[in-house]
Formats: sequence, structure tokens, C-alpha cells
Amino acid sequence: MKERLAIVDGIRSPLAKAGGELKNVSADDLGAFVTKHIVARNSVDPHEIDEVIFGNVAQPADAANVARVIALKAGLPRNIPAYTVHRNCASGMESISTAANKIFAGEANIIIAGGTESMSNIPLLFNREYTSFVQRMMRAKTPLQKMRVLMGFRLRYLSPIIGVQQGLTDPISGMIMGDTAEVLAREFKISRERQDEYALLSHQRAVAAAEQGMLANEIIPIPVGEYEELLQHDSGPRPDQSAEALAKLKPYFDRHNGTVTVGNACPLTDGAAAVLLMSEKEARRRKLEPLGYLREYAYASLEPERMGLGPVYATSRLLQKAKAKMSDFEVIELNEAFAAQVIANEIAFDSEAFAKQYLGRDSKVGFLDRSLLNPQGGAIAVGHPVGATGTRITVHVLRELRRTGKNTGLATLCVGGGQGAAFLLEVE
Amino acid sequence: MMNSAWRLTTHENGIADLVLDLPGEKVNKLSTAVMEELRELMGQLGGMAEQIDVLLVSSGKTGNFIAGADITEIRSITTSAEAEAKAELGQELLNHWVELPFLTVCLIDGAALGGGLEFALACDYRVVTDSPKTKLGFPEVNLGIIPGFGGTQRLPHLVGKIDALDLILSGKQISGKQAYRIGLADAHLPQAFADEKTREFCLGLLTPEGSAAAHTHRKKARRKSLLLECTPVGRIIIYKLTEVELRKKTGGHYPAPFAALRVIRKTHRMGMRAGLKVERHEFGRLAPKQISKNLVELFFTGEALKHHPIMQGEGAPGAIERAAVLGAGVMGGRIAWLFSNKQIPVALRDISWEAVQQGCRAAHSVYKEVAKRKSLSASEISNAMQLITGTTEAGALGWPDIVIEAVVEDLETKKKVLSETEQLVEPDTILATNTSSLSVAAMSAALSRPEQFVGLHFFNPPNRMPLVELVRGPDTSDDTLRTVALLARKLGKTPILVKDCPGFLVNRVLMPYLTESVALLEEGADLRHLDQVFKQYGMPMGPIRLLDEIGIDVGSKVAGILATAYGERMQISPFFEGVTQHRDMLGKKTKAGFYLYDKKKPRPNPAMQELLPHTETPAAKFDDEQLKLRPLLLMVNEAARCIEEEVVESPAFLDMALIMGTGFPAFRGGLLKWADTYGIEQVYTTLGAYAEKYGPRFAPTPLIEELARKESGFYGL
Repeated sequence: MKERLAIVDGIRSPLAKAGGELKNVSADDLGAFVTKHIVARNSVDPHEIDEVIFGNVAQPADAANVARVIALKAGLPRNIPAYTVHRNCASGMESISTAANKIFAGEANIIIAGGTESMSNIPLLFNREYTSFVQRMMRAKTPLQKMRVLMGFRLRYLSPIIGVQQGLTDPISGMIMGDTAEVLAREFKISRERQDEYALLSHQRAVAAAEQGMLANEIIPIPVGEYEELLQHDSGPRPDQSAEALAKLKPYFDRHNGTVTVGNACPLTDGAAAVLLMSEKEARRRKLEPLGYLREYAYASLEPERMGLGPVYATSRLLQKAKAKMSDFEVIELNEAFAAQVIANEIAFDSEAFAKQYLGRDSKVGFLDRSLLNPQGGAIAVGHPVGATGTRITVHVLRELRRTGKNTGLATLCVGGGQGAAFLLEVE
Repeated sequence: MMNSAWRLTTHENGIADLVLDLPGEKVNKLSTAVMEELRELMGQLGGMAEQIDVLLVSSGKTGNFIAGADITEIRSITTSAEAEAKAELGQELLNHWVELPFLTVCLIDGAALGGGLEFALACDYRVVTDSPKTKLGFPEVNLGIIPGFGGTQRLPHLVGKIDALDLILSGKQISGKQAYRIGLADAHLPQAFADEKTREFCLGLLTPEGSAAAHTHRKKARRKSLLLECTPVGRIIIYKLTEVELRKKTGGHYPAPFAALRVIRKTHRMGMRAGLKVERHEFGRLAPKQISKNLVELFFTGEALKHHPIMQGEGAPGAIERAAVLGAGVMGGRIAWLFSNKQIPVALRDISWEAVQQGCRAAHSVYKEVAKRKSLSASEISNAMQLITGTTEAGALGWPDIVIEAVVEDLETKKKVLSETEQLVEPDTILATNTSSLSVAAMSAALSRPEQFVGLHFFNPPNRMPLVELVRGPDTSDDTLRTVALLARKLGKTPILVKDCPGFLVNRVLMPYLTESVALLEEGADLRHLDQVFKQYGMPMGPIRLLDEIGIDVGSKVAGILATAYGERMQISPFFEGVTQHRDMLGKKTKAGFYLYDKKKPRPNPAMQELLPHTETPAAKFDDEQLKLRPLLLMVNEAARCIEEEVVESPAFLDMALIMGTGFPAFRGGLLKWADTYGIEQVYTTLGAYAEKYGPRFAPTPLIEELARKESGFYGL
């Protein structure tokens, strides 16, 4: 990037496990909630906003181009256009880098970007046979024709496709995301114990952060139900999480020889996050004090079945693009899709052999210091609302840098289908 | 004719156009002059059967067909005979109209009300548009009268008794689509193609298929009600149910809808001429009565308020696109609802998230309440609620064009909140206070842009009470006042300009009524008896129930402020002050006050009876008249002071404010109208007598004395 993108402000909703506190709030309502708050908090005339860009993975059937629905529901002036971006788990980050491209191309001045996901509301689908049955039924005109179609009905037509399961399955390799984590566990020989140990750490860090109010500036409490309650914190982190309880869980994806359990993987989650974006120049002209800046971004891709390694691929490219090194980073958010996947990245980042074989580098990418990595816990504890996570970790890196008085951070994540995304973020 | 209201054009194809376009007026009215002109025109039309196949009547005014009879003419009616004669004139005219030797069709694209709808009913066919301005109805009952140009005869005949009773007795206005559904209209057309489609419809009527189709629709629309209506038992059921419903709704205080019901019932199977006679007889009975006079007066007061000079001004008024409310109490939450309900994004701020949530909940419960009465889908509610942004940050108000402060009723707090907000918002943002009793001037002094500050006092519950008191501060600019007055209108409220005095107008006048009622209790009056007397008078609830509703702590606090401001005459008793110590007996919100609210029907609270000082006095010594007059006359006395001090512009505005702010019975015409009707001398002497007996608070004000001497009245001012 030639210039830095100012992230003027960033906030998010509390995250709740799918089927939990936010189960009745649709993806568009979650997005509208964070959007109206980002507008309310900032001294920017809503009429000056040029575009609303939201990332979303499951794309609700009743809210096509969910970004536009969000903009309207949030009460933004109706003449502000909006569109939705989709790069799977990186959709939230894509909304920001797309906005950056638009702003630096001179096509927009101020953009609201964000990510939203309601995994509670991903529907069950009718299978192809039933769909075709209904189509034939509609085409049948005479009672006799209808009768004939009806006779062809089979019970198996009613077996549904679970939308969320299908969404988490890579159509090329045919592997569900959990299976790709098992691939990495084998490639890097990561034991069940090491995975559980990491999951426990995630919970402990998230619980401590919530207790010390470290997320107070980041989370806007959201009313739930008929406004009789208020969800103030992420509901995922478990204060009483123990190593024993984790050890008791059965492997979920590979029942017999697997290591990945629901305890050391991130849960299905609902939530949304939003940021207010403009060029650094524009922010300075308006005498604003932005939360921070995006200095560089990178996306990279690899084999779908090893998608969990996306961060090392993307970060390698990011470092090249920005002429930076791993030791520059003072805070790192590497999204925790699976404990096995995080550990695999730790190994790959620090391996010269891996760098030579896969990344075309002479030296390793760099050491991933666990004390700097996901210091407030990650998706294993707080959850992973797929479309929103990219925005969440971007905002969180900046807020954590500010809280600790540091300057440079990395936000990176793996992307289903075999991609990785990485942001170089700065505060000053 | 020079300034002709009717314009006739004939065409080759047999369709003639008759356009009503009253010169120099915004809307068409069926005044005597307009009807006289029509009579002359009809003489000519009668001989035109050769040239005309279909006469198409329409209006030259946008958004209006005919708004009704000229209400100034109704106002001037003094005797039954005069009223009957007026009705007969219209009836006769429309009877002739029906007999014209060709088809008559009217195109209703706008309001067709009262006499206007009766004229439409006398046409052979009615075509309506889908414009939101197209409204059909009989608002006569709202003026204490009934339709007098045949509406009670032709409407039931056309659409059946159930729908006709519904329309005529309620005074409600229905859309073009609804009119088509009940068979009142024969075609429902898109406004954009109204002209072409209406002409097509007219030409169609000349073919057997076209006219058959129109009649089939009418028959179909009536089918659902036929089963009940065609049997004597069915009709009795309809009449009985209607009457029960009516009694519940009017409390028996409004005779007009009962009269309309009587007419429709009596004229069943009567011929048109005999029916019309019954109709004009009832019309004649009602029109000269005081109730009708009161309601007509209120209509004109309403019109005057609608076109009040504060709404006029140079240039475009400031638009309110976004708003913010400070203080998320029940009041703040409901004010936020007002905005969200009109699709205006609004921030709702309080210091804690719990308070914010309560405020949002208050707004949400209004939507739930509304959803019980009219169709409102869950997603409509959720989308509207999404427009309310709850926040705890002073700076997160979302670029508002207006900020309304509804925080705790404490001057220092309000000053602090307002001046803090003034720093954070844009320089052109208007600030308003919803204070009910504190000085707007005092708050204004704390601001650096006092010209953009105004008092905007909503009444509880603001979603239902139509009044807002608009208080001009010492520096408030005309533009600010106009913008806020127009906003109040947009929110569905009627703003009334009042002076910046403690309690402003309504609370100041209402408080003596409440304190005197409490005084009566202390003297041994029975609270149910007292409340009953005022329910009979026409109040929506008695004064003691009202206190429970307001909250005894709130009532006592406001009473204290007014006592400090106005001295002895507003002094509250130690008992009233003492009650607030009992935190579990603060009124309905604590489920106990003067009454207990634990069961369906409220009953007197024995614990409160214990606290009353003079429970041993026998309740019988209070007669109804005394119970009624003491609180009422004390109110009249304070109202007279408000007129003297020019707190409000006119007695009529004062009356309207009390009706819209407290539910004072409209059929009484308002408090001062009641005083005039009761007799100003009588008011003066009774006040004098009460002053001797109960204390100087009853001493009549100089204005009342003067009016009594001049044998005039408040409305003679």
C-alpha cells in the first residue's frame, strides 16, 4: 500500500455460541447493530459516508446483499450504496482491504466496513431430489399428471442438508474443516494433549481479559429477547474450564484415531463487528485521532486440505510486501480455528525447512512468541462468527496495542478453501 | 357565471366532465352557495340526456374531493328548525341529483368526507384511487351531529348495516382500498392512471358486461354481512352489540353516535323519503345542542393550532433527520419511540447500560401495545427498534439535528447535561428540555447557544397524549421554535405555545385539582365516590386514580415545586407530603397507592386509609356537587390566572391543552368552556362562598370578578 488506511474506530457485539443468547438475531440485525453504533460514536455526518461494505459467509436467503440491508436497517441515509464481500473466514478483513483499495483509487472518501455472521440462522436445505420433485409437481397441470409425480415420491427426499455443515466443507477436497485440522495434526505430529493444553490457555486468557474489563471499549452490549436482558460479554469463555474436562471429550471428526474435539476447536458463533475507515490524510484533515492504521495486507493460497496453514503463507507475503520482520510485531492475533492449526502454524513459522519447501524463502518466517499471541484468548474460547472474525481480530490488535502502549501488530487467519490473510497494523 | 365553482365540459364520446373547484379555497366544501350553484346547473343538466351518457364528477383540488359541509354554517345553527331546513335543502338537492337522466360517476382522489361522501353516495358509481390522501368517512359524530344529507340512508343501503354502522358511528376515515373492499367504491385505481382508467370504466358502464361487473362486485362485497342482516334476530344482535360497544367507548357522554344508530335502526325498510325525514329530525335535534357547539368550537381551535403562526416563516424549516434523547427512563424511552415510529434514527443515552436497556424496553413495549390494535409484523417492530441506538457515551449521539433532554427533574443536573451536550454536538443542533416544572430560562442561561434551546414538554404517556407544551426560552429564535413545532406535528403531536412559568400551563392548572381532591379525602370523602363523580363528569379516570397512575412521589414532588413557586394557594398538606415516605405505596408502579392493584379491579388500599387523618368523618356529608365543584372551580381559578398572566394565548387554546394533555372531556368543550356554560356569575359566587368556608385559595381572581361583573365569559374575551 502506498498510504496507510486510518481505522478511525472499531467495535463489535458480544459473541455468543450458535443457538445461544443471539440465536434470534439475524445476521443483518447484528450488522445493523454494530453499524448504527459506529455511526453514533463518531463525529462524521452520515451523509458523508460513501459506501458500506460488509463481509458475510452464510449470506442469509432473506437478506440478499446483506450489506445493503444492514445500511438501511441501521438508519443510514438511503442514498449510501452498499455491497457484500465474501472471502470465507477472511470476509471481515476483505471488507477492510477492499475499502482501502476503493479509497486509494479515489473512489470513496469514508467507508463503513464490517463483518457479520449468525451461524444460528443458517438453514437446513432440501436436497436436490426433493427440489426436483417440487419442480415437477409445479409443472404438472392435470390431476393425472400430478398423481403420477406424487407416486414418485420417496421418503429419502425429506432428508435435509445441514447448511452449516455444508458451508464448512471444502467442495474440492470434500473435507470438512475439522478434517483439515486432523491433516495438520498428522503432518506436524501434534498430540491431543498439546491441543487441549492450548485450548485451556485460550479459555484462561479470555476469562482473565473479561474479568479485568480489557474488552470494555471493544464490546457494545446488545439487548436480547424482547429487550428484557442485555448481553454484555462474550458468552463463550468458561471460567471453570479444566484440562480434565477437555481430556474427556471424544474426537469429533475422526471418531477412532482423531485428536480434534469440540473442546479444542472453535464453536459455531453469532456476532458482528464494524470499523470506520478513511485515508490517513483525511483523518488528519478532520483532526481525528484514529484507533490505528492498516499499513499493509496480503492474501495467499495453498492446498484446500491444508487450509489451516494459511497464516504462515499470508504472513510470509505480508512481510515481503511491507519489508517487515516477525520481530516487529508486538501483538499478534492468529485466529484459532483449531488448536492443532494454531500449533501447526507455530511450527511452520519457526521452520527453515518449511519456509524453503513451501514458501520459496531462504529463511524461516519467524518465531511466533506465545506470550504475544492471542493474549486475550481466541476463537476457541470466544468463538468464531466466520464473517465477522476478520474485523474482530483487526480491531482487537489495535485496541490491545493501545492498551499496552505498543505500536505494531499482526492480524492473520486461515481461510476455508485453502487461503490465508494477514494485516500489518499500526497505532502511531 | 364569473366565479363558478362547477365546471361542465361535454365530449364527443358521451362522457361529460363536471369538475368542482371552489375558487380561492384549498379544499372543496359543500357550502350553501356551492349547492345553490349546483341546483341551477342541474336544471341545465336535466335537459342534456341527448349529449351525455355518463357524467363524471371530479375535483379540481389535489388531494381533496370534497371535505364536507361548511362547518362555519353548522356553527351558526341555533335552532332545530333551522338545522332541519338546512338538512332538507341538501337532501332535496341530492334526491334530484339521483334522478338525472344519465349515469353519474365520481372520481374520488383525495378526501371525501361528510357531506362530500353523501354527494358521492348520490352518484350511481364511485371510483377511488390508491393515493394515501384518498380517505372516505363520516366525521359528523366528532362534531356532535350525524350525517344529514342522506348518508344514514344511502350508505347502509349500499354496503350493508355492519359496515355502515362502523363508518358512521366511529367517524373514522377509510382508505380507497378499504372502500372498495366493503363495496362503497366500484373501482379502485392507481392514481397515476386515474384519469384514463376512470374513463375506461365509464365507457365500460355503457356496455352490458361492464355494468354487470360493477354490480357483481357490489353484491360480493355485501355477501359477508347478509346472513346477519337479513333476519330480524340477526339485526337485533347487530344493534345490541353496537350499542354495548358504543356505551363502552363513549361512557354515554356523546349522544350523536347513539342518534345515528337510532336512525339506522328506525329507518330499516322505510322508504327513502320517510327515512330522510327521520334523519333530518335527529340532525335537527343534535345540531343546536351545547355538546355539538363545544365539539365544533374545538374543531376550529384545532384548525387554528394547525395553522398557527409559529409554523409559518421565511425559507425552508430545519429538517430533523436524526435525533437523540438523553435519559432512558420510561419517558425517554417512549419519546425515542415517537421518533423511531416516524422512521427517524434516534440515539437514547443514559449513564448505565441497565438504564439504556430499560429505555429500549419501554419503547419496545409501546410497539407491542400498538401491535395489539393494528397489524404490525415482528419484523416491522424489529426494524423500527433498530433505529433506536442505546448508548452510555455522551459523545455517541449520532449526528443529531435535535437533542431532547429527559433526565431527572433537577435543575443542576439538567444544566450540566445540556451544556455538556452543547459542546459535543454540531453548532446547528437544537437542544430541547422535556422538563415538566423547571425554568427553561434558568437552563438557557447555562448555554452558549440559547437561541437554539427550547422547552418541549411531552405528556405521559407520550405515545398516547397528543399535546406538547412548547416553551419559548428568553433567547429562543423563531427558526428554532418553528423547526420544533413542525417536528412535534410530524411526531403526531399538537404543539401549544406556553409561557415559561413553574408547571407551565397544564400541570399548573391540573395540580389544584389533585391537591384539592386529596384535601377532600383528608376531610373524609370516600375515594371511590370522588373518583366516580369525576368519571361521570367525563374524565378518563378520577383524580385519585390519576394520582396513582402518575405516581404519588412524582405528584408530590411537582406539587412541592408549584407550592414553592405560587405560595399559599398551592400549599400541599403534610399528609400528602408524608405519604411519599412509604416507598411501597407510590401508586400503580408499586402495585399499591390509594388503591391496590394486585387484582384485576383496583380496590381501596386499607393501609392508605390508615394514614388519612380524619377517617372518622362520615362520608355522607359530601354530596356529588360539592365533590365535583371544589376541585373543578379551583382549577378554573388557576386557569383564569393563566389567562391573566398570558401563560397561553387564549381560553380556547387552554381548553384544548387540557383536553389533549389530561384527557379533560371534549364534549364539555374544555375547562373554561365548562365554566362559561356553568355560568361565570355562578362560578364567581361559589368561589367566594368556598373562600369563606375552605380558605383563601378559592378567592376568585380579578379576571373572574371582572367577567362576572360584565356578565361575559372566558370565550367573550
